[in-house]
Amino acid sequence: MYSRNKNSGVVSTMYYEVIWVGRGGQGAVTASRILAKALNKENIWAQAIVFFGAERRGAPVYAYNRISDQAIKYHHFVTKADVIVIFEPSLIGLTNVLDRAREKVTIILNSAGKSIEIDGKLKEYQLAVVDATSIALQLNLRVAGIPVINTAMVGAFAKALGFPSIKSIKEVINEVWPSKIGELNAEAAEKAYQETKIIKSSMVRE
Amino acid sequence: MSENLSDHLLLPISKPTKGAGGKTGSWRVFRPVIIEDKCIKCMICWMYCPEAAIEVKSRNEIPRINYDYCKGCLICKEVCPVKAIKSERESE
Amino acid sequence: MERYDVITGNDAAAWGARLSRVEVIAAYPITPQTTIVEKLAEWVDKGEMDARYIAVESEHSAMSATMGASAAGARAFTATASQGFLYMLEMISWAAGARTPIVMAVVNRALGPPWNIWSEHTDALMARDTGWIQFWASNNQEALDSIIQAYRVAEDKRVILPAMVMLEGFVLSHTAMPVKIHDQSKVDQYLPPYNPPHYVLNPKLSEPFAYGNILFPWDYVKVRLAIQKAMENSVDVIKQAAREFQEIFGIWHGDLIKEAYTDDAEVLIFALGTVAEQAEATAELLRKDGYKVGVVKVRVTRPFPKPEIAKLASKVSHVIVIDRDISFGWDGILAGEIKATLHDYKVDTPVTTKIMGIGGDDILPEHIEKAVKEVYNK
Repeated sequence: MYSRNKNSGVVSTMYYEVIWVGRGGQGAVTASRILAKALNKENIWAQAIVFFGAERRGAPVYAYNRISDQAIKYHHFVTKADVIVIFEPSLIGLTNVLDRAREKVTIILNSAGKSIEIDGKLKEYQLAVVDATSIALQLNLRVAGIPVINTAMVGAFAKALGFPSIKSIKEVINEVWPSKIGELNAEAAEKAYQETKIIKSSMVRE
Repeated sequence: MSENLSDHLLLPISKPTKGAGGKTGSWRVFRPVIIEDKCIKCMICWMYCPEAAIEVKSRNEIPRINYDYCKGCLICKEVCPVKAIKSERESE
Repeated sequence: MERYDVITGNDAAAWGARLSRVEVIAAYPITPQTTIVEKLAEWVDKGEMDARYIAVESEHSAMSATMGASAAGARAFTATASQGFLYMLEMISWAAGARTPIVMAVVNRALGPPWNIWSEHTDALMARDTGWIQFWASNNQEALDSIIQAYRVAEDKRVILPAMVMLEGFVLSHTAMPVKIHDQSKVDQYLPPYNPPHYVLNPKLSEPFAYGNILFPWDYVKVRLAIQKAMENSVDVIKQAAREFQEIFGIWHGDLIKEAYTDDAEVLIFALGTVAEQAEATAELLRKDGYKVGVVKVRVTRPFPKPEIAKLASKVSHVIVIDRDISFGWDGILAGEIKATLHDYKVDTPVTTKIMGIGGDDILPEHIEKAVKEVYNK
């Protein structure tokens, strides 16, 4: 856990900035909002920011969170992140998202785990890996053919960071989709939470 | 007419009323006159009069021009299909 | 029941209208406003809101229908942005002249061309001179709360003028953050049903009447002067509305302004909306390094808080105005207003204009830090 004390006045014991990078249609925006809602249930303040442009299905898209134990007054996009959630390994090469990592960063990656390529310039990081695509396919979670992995990635976040609880996440998912879809997505989050592997910073290559 | 509720809420409103602009008949230069023998009571003049100065009491009566308000535009004369309306110069 | 939820600025604005028990909504969609009226349409459709939703064919018609509803005695609401706002502008001016206390959410967006959907304040500032009261929200809670407060002010018998509540496109409209959704009974206590002191269209009257007929110069002057007087009256009404809001809901967004760190400030930053909050967060950082920076959020631009601004500016050695807008060939719009105010009150504090964030360009803490350090190094 890396706390940042950026907001003075009242001493902040908790401050995280998160970048979600996915492809248009994978649900990165919704993931950031579900996370914020789950944190809200645990009285943690969170903001979920999105950048909307002329994105198309499949193009790289970003969403952001600021998380703290007090209200944050910043409104800009996250420029340096404590947590980066990557919806598929190819996005590492397609984007410059790793340039926006803080020195100590947690990377959460959706990957089948066979060839994880994290950029060599990251000095100290924690890596969490989950095969969210397989989870989505097992549960037949697809929209327009694209496996929907966002809820699974929120489950992976909970495992990697230790908060919020998977219970809160599942509650939020069922509130957002009060139907069978909600149940399946909650199951995806739970499965991802169980299956996420934390690879310690001993993985560091430098 | 205005509804002056207070010095910060002044609302001028308009209500329909006969001759709000005064007796506009005095503005007339030419006067339309209905030739009763020719009138077929089609009421087209009544429909076209922009000042509602042509009055119709019943379907079977010849319309009457209200010279208190007729401005003398002569649209009635133009639209009459049987040329039953003539114009006369107003006396000076 | 009172609860906290993480919702977008647009959802917060829709909640503001819902809790205000709006009776008629007429709107036309435009990015980034669309989700406000989508939400309201959904609630009306589900029967969760006892209101009529009129889908119109343009913003010009949206304001016309809203005005008609308000004139008939209903509490009416609409929302727009950017190009739609400009298309509506003729009717915006008319709504103030007709003294219809409408509340409208304006989701600030830059004007084209080039086409741009992101945040900028220039759109709403173009309506400074129409006779509308103008509130600016700096976070989602304030967007919700300002709509409720705006109805209180607009419908007050000392005022009877329309009010617009601005929230920035995407920066607030599509950003989710925790918002307290108030208890309906508390809102009802704060905001009684609209009881118009006048009806333009009163069905009880035996004969119909109309508003808006021609008025000759000598009478027109009196009617326009009445708008100015209503605007002057609104200053105290806004202050009272903010105080009573705080008493009932325990939330203080400021009245016409909100101050932060102004007590011992050497340099004051003035800004609107989220820019002011961003400056406040940055001031916290700067203060650690010894820069005594204060921030004044200008929450209301019409009526313009002239005495408050002059008093605060007179106590510091420098004023920085951050404008997320520009009046081409003149200055930042807020900066121009503040300079005129200081001249009026014979305050000679130097003013620096910084134009930032045009067309949604991200305003980072370092941009604000740089502006402050430049002033200190002068």
